[in-house]
Amino acid sequence: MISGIAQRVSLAVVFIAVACSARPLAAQGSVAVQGFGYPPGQLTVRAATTGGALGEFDQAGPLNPAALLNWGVAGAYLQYSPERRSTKIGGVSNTATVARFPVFAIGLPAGQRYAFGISSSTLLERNFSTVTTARQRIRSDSVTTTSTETARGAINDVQFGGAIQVTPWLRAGTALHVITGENRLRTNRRIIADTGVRADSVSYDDVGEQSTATFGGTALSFGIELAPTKRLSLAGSARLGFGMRADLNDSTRRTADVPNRAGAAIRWEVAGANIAARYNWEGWSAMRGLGAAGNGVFDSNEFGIGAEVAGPKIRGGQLLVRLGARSRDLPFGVAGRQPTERILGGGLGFPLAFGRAQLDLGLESASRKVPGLSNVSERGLITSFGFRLRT
Amino acid sequence: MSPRQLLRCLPFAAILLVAACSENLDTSKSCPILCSDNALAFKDTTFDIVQFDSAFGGFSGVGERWPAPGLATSNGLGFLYETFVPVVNRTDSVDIRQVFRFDTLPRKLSATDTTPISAVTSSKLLLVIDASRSVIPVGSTTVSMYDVDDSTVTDDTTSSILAARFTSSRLIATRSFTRADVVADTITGFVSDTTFRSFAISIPDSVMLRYIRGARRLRIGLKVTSASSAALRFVAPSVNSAGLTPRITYDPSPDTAVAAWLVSTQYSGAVTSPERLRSQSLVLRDNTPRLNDGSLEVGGLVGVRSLFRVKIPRSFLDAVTIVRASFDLVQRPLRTVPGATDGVRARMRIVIAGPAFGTDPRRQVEFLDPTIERVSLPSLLLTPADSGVRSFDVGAALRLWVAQDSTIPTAFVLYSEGETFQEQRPAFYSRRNSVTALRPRLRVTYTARREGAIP
Repeated sequence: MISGIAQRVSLAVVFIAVACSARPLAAQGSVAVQGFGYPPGQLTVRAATTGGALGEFDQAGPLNPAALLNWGVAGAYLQYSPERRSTKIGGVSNTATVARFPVFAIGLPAGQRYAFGISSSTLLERNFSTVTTARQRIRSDSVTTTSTETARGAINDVQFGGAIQVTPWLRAGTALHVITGENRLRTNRRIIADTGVRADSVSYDDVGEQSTATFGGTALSFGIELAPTKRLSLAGSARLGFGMRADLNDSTRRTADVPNRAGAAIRWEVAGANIAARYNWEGWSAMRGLGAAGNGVFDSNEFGIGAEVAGPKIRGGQLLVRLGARSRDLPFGVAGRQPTERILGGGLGFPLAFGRAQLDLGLESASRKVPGLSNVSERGLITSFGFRLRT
Repeated sequence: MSPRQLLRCLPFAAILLVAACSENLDTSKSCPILCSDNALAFKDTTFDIVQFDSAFGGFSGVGERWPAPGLATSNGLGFLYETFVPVVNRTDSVDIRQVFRFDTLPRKLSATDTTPISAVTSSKLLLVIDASRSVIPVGSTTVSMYDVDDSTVTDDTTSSILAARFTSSRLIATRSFTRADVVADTITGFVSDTTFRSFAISIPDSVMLRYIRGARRLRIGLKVTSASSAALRFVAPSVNSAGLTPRITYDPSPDTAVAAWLVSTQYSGAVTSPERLRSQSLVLRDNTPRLNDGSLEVGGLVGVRSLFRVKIPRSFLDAVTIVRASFDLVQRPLRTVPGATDGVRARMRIVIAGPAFGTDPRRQVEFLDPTIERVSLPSLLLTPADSGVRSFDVGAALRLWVAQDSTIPTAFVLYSEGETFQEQRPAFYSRRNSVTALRPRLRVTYTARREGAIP
């Protein structure tokens, strides 16, 4: 009887120990892809290569629903933005290449006063693979564990928006955002005991785990675009995040909020060029309840400035030349410190099919640092292709 | 090419350039600084999981196949079998004999030629011997073949009745041989195998013809005699490879177009699962003393096997990832028994549960197929004189059970791979031992399940 009670008590103790020790994994291997991943910024190639400054005015971008009226006619937009990323730690460099399709959008104007749009953009992208080894001790055995981890997935923002031309100088829009996506992480750990004297011959099994988190949430956004003069435009937008949840392997549920966001931009048209500046704030810390809190989840500020200049005329229309710079914080910390990112970019907009389509090319150089970790730096070279089609 | 033409080509060149890049997500070199919290934390715990344990003796190799629907065993789906049957003579302690039953002998020249057989040549009993694990003395050894059938007696399976028929008047044939003779007898088609050897005992053709023409059953009893101990292991009738099973052969015609008959074992009695009695082990003498003090023994010339019924803490196993698991038994030293310092391999296997076996513990330990549901647990080399904890690797069993319905009973059988040919019989303390530290227990090393998708 006493033995049975003792066994139940010891089982309970083990359970508590297991429950308390169940902890997440954080092998991500780059400054950008910490926490739930890297935020590409929800910027089109046009917006990204102008330092994000045109993001509030770009109809294909999902930031400001009021900009949907800029479609003019029905159209679609697709973007591909691979990044070659080089992370340097204490002189050791690691280069990785990740592919992204960060923005897809369809615009449907309805007359002169209304426009509707659907878009899907990457809020956070989390792709990495690491192979690490460690020496550990199990019972009286010295073992080498080799861990292979691969993560794939993203959290996306699917937006259903509408805009109205309120007055000739005021446009307003609103959008419903559905946050969706999943992160899949596969881990395999091989444990090999040192050959030599062992207390027994019991084998070590590989530890293989597969974990899938699915995300869901909603948000509403509002935006306006003002044109007080013919050459000056102002735009502002805000996203109000509601509940967000993460379901892990269809069992565990964590809840938080979709990050709020607010941004404002100014654009000045001068001599055939658009010169713009933008400020954006994103309240990522609202996601802290989902995870990644150990290394810090921070709100981020972003400043950008850029210009879009008319280039030489080529067959089919006007070539556009873009330049820009932006500086921002990244939302997920490294050892409790918030990384920063500075991006210099430029690109070209090639008119195709006599203005019915446009190919946007962009090249951005990103530099990421972690304050306080002077031996850690990261550079990213983002090549972007955007294809814009108009009916 | 003009600057304008170059400009036009630029987008397509850029697309080609980027399309040529393949994704490479490997960021291993950035660890551990950017990969914190990557080490596994191992935990270790022991469970007192044995609810019942007991040793069962008298095993001499059943040698038959039992249907076990739905179970995956090492010989394919749905059957459990013994691989070998023994014929043993240890002059001071053990005498095990073997009966092979051939209840139907073909009486025609061939399947297509119905002419009755009038003469035979090359009559033999064909067996396959496990040469590496049989104990064959250096000097001469003799295998004697007896007719152990009596069609006038209804009871034709009771050991004592059959044992009484090994008399000189029933002697059919003998074969004397040395170890070198056995090793030289390779099997056609199995030449490369270094373990199995053919072992034939010639039967006088006149005797064989008498059985054929008289439509009599041929039930052969085999006995081994030698100056020192001998333990022969023959391939059992139940193995799936027809070329290795015990057979009778005789050539019914000098015409080379008529093939010799090869007759497999059959039992024609009206019993459940008659295939079980195609061969039968008879233990005529067993003077190997059991400890009879509650210790759990394993092995011996007449085998002892131990059963452990266990209750696995399923909810615990469901919540963790098992890294290693051992079923730890504390060995009781036996320093004065014969062969106390010689090694014998003991193997743990999981018990089959199901309608064919019920809950009778003796039936649960009766079958020795080491692979159940594709799980084969490693063996350990033991010597009876040793003492201390012996850790049997049972990780694969736990993973099987976690994947199974929790209502399926779980148990281990510990048996000796040297059963019937090695006398060593190591012993272990049971769950009834008054000292808790000496009782069997499960020791599990595990890690907490990780929520890797959540950073």
